[in-house]
Amino acid sequence: MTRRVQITKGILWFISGLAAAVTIVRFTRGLGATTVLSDTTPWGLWVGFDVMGGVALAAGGFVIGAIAHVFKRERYHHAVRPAILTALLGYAAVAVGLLYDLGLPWNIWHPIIFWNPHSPLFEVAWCVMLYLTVLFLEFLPVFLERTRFTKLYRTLLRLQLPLIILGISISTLHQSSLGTLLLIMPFRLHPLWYSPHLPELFFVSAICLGLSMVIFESSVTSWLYERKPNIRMLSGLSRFAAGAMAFYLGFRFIDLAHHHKLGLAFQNTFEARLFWVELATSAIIPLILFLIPKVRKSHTGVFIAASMGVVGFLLNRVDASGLAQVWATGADYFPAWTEFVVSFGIVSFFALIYLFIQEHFPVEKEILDEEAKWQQRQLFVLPRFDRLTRVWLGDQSFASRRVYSLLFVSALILGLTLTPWEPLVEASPVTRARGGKVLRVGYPIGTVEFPHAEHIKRIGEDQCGVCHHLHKPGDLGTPCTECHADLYLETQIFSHVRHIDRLGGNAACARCHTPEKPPAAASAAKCSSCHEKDMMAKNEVVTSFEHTAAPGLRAAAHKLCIRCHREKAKDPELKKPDLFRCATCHRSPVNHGDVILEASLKDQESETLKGEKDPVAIEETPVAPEEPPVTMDHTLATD
Amino acid sequence: MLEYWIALARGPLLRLALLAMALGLLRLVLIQLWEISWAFHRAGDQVVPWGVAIRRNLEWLLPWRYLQRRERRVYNFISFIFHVGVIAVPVCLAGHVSIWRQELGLSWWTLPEALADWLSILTIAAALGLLIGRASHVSSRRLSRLHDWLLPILCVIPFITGLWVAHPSYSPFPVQGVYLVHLLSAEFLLVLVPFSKLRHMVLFWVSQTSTELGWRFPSGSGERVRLSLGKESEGV
Repeated sequence: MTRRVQITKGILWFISGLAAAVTIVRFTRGLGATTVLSDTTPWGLWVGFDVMGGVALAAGGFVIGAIAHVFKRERYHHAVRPAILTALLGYAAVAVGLLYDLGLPWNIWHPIIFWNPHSPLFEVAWCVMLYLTVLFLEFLPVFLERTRFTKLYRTLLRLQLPLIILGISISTLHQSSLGTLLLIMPFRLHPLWYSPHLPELFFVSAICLGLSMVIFESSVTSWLYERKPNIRMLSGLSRFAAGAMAFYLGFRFIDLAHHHKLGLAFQNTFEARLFWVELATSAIIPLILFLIPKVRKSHTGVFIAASMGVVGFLLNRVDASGLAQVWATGADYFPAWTEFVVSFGIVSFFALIYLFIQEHFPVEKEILDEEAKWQQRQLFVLPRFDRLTRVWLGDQSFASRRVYSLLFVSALILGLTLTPWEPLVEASPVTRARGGKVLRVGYPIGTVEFPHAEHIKRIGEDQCGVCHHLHKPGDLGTPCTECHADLYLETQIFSHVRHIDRLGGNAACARCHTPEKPPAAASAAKCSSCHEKDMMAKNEVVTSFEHTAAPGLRAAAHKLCIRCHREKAKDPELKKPDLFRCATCHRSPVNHGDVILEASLKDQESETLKGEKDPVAIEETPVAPEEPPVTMDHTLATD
Repeated sequence: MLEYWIALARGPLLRLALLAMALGLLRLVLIQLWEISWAFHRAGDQVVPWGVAIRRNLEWLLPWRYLQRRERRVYNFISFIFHVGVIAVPVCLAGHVSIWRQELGLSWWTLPEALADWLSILTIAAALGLLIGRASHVSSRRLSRLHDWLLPILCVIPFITGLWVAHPSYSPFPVQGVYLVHLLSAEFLLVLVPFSKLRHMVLFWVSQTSTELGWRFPSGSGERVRLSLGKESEGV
């Protein structure tokens, strides 16, 4: 085990620890607490990177299998086992990633029993299951090679060619069926990505990505274990990759031109720029690099070109399943850090398994032998001691395991501390009510236009306390948004510091906290025991003043308004049975983003102004109970 | 501002400290078990008197054997008092139990307020006694490392500040600040548990088993020691 391997493993363990923390929260608190996904953007980084990207990353397995066993290029035999291992772990990672994505992960086995042959996902699910089995059977001989199960080992070796052919056909189906999945959204996927040939495009790009990944992974392992890279094999593979990339580029551009969509790529839009960035990193630059013979013969050159290809084609999958859909939904989406952590954590975890299998099973025999020699050498290394505790650290492999477990546990602790346990509700601060007789509360979403003057007229001028149940000290008719300052979240309205200052430092604790009980908010004296006169208003809704947190405006307004509206709706004399309906208050078309809402608000404002005799009345005035009653405006009538 | 720091120390930092202690200790226990099983696996002599090992673990876990020792009786007794206070007050204080109930949904028996106060004072005195005992005994002083001196002092800070928080009128400083110091010092101590000798709170359970197994060498180890030290010419 070299220093490089140890450091890499340490980093991988750390990321896995963070991901483990998020995993706990994901499966106990659900998607809401760990992602910023919504009904508008239900597919995020996890689908794009882990599932779509993961499947394509695993394409190396069948491509190398085909080159070495079907086309009989003996030179690439070396690469078959690592490529199949990458594919096996890649597909396992996809299955694990799917568990995170699915809202009801425990139902993941449903496609086995409940068949829905019309669904592309049905094809995807079956391909994943079958191919995972085939890959396992393909890789099983490696596990069995140095064991006593020789009979099984020989049988599996004899079955290798049929298994590889089976693998190729299932992979072909599966890589393209992920494209099929996107065929059902022609109006959601941007035209630069959408094409009736998506399945074929996905298949071709998977071959490019698979080859790039094999080159990438092979050069990374030789760097990690400080081995001489097999340049002959790598440059041969890069020649295949160049061919596949050229075919992909040609296919993509001919397809765009055929559907008269090539012009879209030259407009100054986000999608056009994304298209060029993706195409440059995935195919154009790697293709140029691979075509230069000097680059093909250098380890660094091949590595750079291949890693660009990997990043670019992964970006293609992320684009197709997310970024290229933003234009249709109009919903901004940037993954939460928890989503990044899970994505990279799954990769890290499976990379660790990859390194473990490399070190313990004959995938590449040089690494295994090197590892065994290293273990032997460790027996004769002088013991090392911990500087602080002067305790023996154990032999080298033990000491590094101590470090790995420490990194993992620290990351787990860090993750569990940072991960929000509540659903990720963003703060939506509420602006102060605007308008004189009509109050607009809760901008921009959930806006309700509240005919203030009309309510004063109906309820009575002396009944302000029905709604204004609490004043700030020395205030009268404090606006509701002063305490209910957020649409959804609670607001703390009690200032401990202020009370300590005003009541006189340490000696004042006993004025609220009884000495017999431990000082806590719950056991402290109720606010109303002092503040009944100066802060509480006479009303029937909020009868006691004991909470230090004000609920969100939505909850508060619903409780207050609905209670009264429900009673009045039943009143036969009033003849307003509709009062109790949502649309009585929620009239703005609020569900289609800010733009429409803004427009509708402007429309209503202009109408309001038209019907207004005195436009001066619409100034920013706080809720003033003394305001003279004004006649009701027809556009905002509550009936 | 102070309010904000207190909220931080009572929320995320408390969670961090408790998690760090629990998971850090769990890691240590797992490593210890693994090493024990590894030592057993490679030992030449695999006949282990498990009954004796378990009995000795229990004997040393309960204070009787410790208190019966002939040498340094006063020191041992003070140490016993210190351990009682250090465990009972943080776990069973009524104010703490209300926090556990809030955060974990668990609650248990609580110490009466007056008893908790006296136990805290006793613990502070015991910590001082331990430091004096360590300083006055020659071989003990020579064996002590820096953190052997620091840990009793660190353990005492939450007790002093805790007393002041419980009785604000006796506190010479504003109680909010004292409360913050109480929280932060206790959390620092919790984080320190898996990384300092405070870890004996979980590893003590298996220490006798480790000792039993640690002295079983694999066959041929003498040869290896000779090779490692580069003394091939000398006899084993």
